[in-house]
Amino acid sequence: METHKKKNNLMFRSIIVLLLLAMTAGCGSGPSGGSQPNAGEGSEADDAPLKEITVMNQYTTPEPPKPDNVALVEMEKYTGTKLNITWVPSTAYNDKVNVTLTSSSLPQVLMVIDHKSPTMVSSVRSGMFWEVGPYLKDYPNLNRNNPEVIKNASIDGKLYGIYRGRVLGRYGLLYRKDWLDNLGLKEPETIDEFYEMLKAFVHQDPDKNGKNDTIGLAMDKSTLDFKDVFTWFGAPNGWEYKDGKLTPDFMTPEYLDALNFLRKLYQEHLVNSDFPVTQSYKDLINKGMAGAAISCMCHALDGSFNTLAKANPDAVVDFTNALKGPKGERAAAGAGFLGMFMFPKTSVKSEAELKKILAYFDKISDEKMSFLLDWGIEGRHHKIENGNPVFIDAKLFGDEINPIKQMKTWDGSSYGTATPLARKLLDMYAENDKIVVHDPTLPLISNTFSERGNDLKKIISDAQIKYIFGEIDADGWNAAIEQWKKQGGDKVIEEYTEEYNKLNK
Amino acid sequence: MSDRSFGSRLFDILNAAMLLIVAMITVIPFLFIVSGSLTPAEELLRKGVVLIPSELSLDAYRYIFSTDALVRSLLVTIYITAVGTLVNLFFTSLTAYGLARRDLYGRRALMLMIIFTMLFNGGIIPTFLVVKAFGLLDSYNSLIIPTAISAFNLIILKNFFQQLPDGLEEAAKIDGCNDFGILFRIVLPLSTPALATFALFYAVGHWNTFFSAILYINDSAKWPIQVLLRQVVIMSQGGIGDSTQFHEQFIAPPPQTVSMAVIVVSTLPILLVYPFLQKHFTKGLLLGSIKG
Repeated sequence: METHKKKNNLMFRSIIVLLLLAMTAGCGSGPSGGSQPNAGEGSEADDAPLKEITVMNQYTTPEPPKPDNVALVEMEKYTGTKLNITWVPSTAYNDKVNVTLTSSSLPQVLMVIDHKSPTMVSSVRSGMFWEVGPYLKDYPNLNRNNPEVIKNASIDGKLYGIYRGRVLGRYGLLYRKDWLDNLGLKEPETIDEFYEMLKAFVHQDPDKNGKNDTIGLAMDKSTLDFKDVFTWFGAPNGWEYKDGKLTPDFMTPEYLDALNFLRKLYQEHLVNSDFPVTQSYKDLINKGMAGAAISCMCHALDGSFNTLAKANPDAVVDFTNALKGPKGERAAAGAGFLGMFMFPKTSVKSEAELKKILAYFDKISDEKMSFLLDWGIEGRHHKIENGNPVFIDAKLFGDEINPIKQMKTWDGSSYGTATPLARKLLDMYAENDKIVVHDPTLPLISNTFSERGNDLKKIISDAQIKYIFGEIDADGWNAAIEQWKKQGGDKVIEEYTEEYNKLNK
Repeated sequence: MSDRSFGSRLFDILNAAMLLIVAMITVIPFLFIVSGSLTPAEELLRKGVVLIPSELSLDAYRYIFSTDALVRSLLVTIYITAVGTLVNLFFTSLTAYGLARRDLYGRRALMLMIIFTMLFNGGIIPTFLVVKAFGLLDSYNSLIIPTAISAFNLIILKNFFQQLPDGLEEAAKIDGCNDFGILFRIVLPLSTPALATFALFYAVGHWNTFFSAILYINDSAKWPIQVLLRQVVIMSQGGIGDSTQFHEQFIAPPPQTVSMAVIVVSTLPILLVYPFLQKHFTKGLLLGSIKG
């Protein structure tokens, strides 16, 4: 047992030594937050562009763009600055942003999709990002003159980044024009005409195949999340400010009118009866079964219905922007932007550096670069016909150039002006711009809503589906509203109203 | 067979029927995915569910192998699974064996510390900071080293080692074996059922690596296949929310057949590991080793 004791002693002593070593190692290195990413080597000359800018952005394709991507090469040649982009899959983007925020290895440009998430808001309020609003007027391509959108993108009234602009009113009614022609009808302009059209689609065999197998309106599980149907009936977009406080749209009588209309459609079998579990209305249109849908008008041009076109070359998908309801023509405004480029102070260390980065964005937002990102390279992706660009290899464009559009600061959602339908899209957008109704809560932050918003939304969305199915009636609907109010809705109203008054006094 | 009562045979039949039904319920969804990946996209869209495709189409597979992204991420996953599992088994058995020895000084304290880590976890951010401090970011080691030993598996293996009779070790010692020799030549060969089980657990865990890869690795060439798979599957279902949010022109989302093909390619290899480990799940290895 002598050796045993000696061994034990040795064991004991080596454990102690190891523990001591471990502790000192931990204390020694200190916070390695000193490792900044390759902050663009600011050149000495004051107006020379930065050599390199680090960016974090998302991609929505199966694989990210490569560093030798043709668009990136062109942009580097044009601006003299290399982009060092960390691409993150869109399906994991918000998580990655949250981790990056707290990890102190931030890129100079961080694209943030949800700038109102609790982590983002607290980071912004703790002074982590540059306030960019006052600088934008010096840059012609970044100067935004849309006060509503600026408000939507601001936190506490200040703009902390360059938002990626989007058309305000992209949604409308998509419909099968060939079916309308077959039945001798014209494009619907009012809700009543829309109803007649749906009836005709279901009962009058518009695809002339001898069977009554067509659906009028194709809805899916996300259709009711978009507020356009409700605004057509005169309801507000999400919320409205009335009598000194903010009221949610579902508490208005116009919203109930819209629900009654949808209920009528459902009872008369003018919509697909399993819509709450339908993944995507596009499948129904592509199968040639449905005649109408409420969605982004851009889908008629962006290839969403290519399957339909291949199966039935005579099919034509057309669109109109809004239907006239009891309060005239209204449309629901989106936020006007999707995502913002924000600039952390830990990696953009000086105002001079910030200005150079803004200058870079200004340069890539000009006409030439916008055209590059919209149409690609002449001869490779598109060719010019009669002064209008036309795609020659849309798939190549989709693989190579499309993902780089994540760097754009304005996305006109344009498909050019080569075809009448493309021109109509731009006209419809312009019309929508004039009639859109804004959601006043977009610039506001309500803590209760951030915490419990999803549960509260579920109460209402479940109730409205049941109402459309006819399982509950007006009393049941009102009961659901009361439940919403009790489970936190009242607090949300209170918080939003308070924030609204603060911002707008 | 006539000596078995009718009741016993009935029970057997019912048992087999029940098990057959449960097996079918488990297998049919997978069969659906496999056959869905082999049908032409239009047919799948039309019919919705296809158990036996009317015509075989390798379009989906051709599509996903057209770029080297899938193959590369598959190789990455195979690498981290193989190396990772070996690292796991090596360190877990070393630690378990050490902790199994009753004469280890400070055994209790060490066990308490280990159990503590099972109950409390630093969280995503502190773990990220630790991995970053060790300079493991953007390397495959960030997926292998931080998770080298699972406390749960460690405790089970330790208990398993403790059940081995002392007589074996003493006999080996008398024959002049040192501790390492005992571990590698006697204890581990006798523990193949346990090791095979843990190898499976660890391997499947490594095969499913997704979130840690997103967190720690920025270079897209080093991503394992689950990252690619998730992106393809979610995008082919219409994306998160309306895909117009991202304003993608001319990118019809990949059809369902493609996402099914990716599922098949990313599940099949790990599925094929099971039969090879099956033969190690035998028992009775200790029979006859200790007499008296």
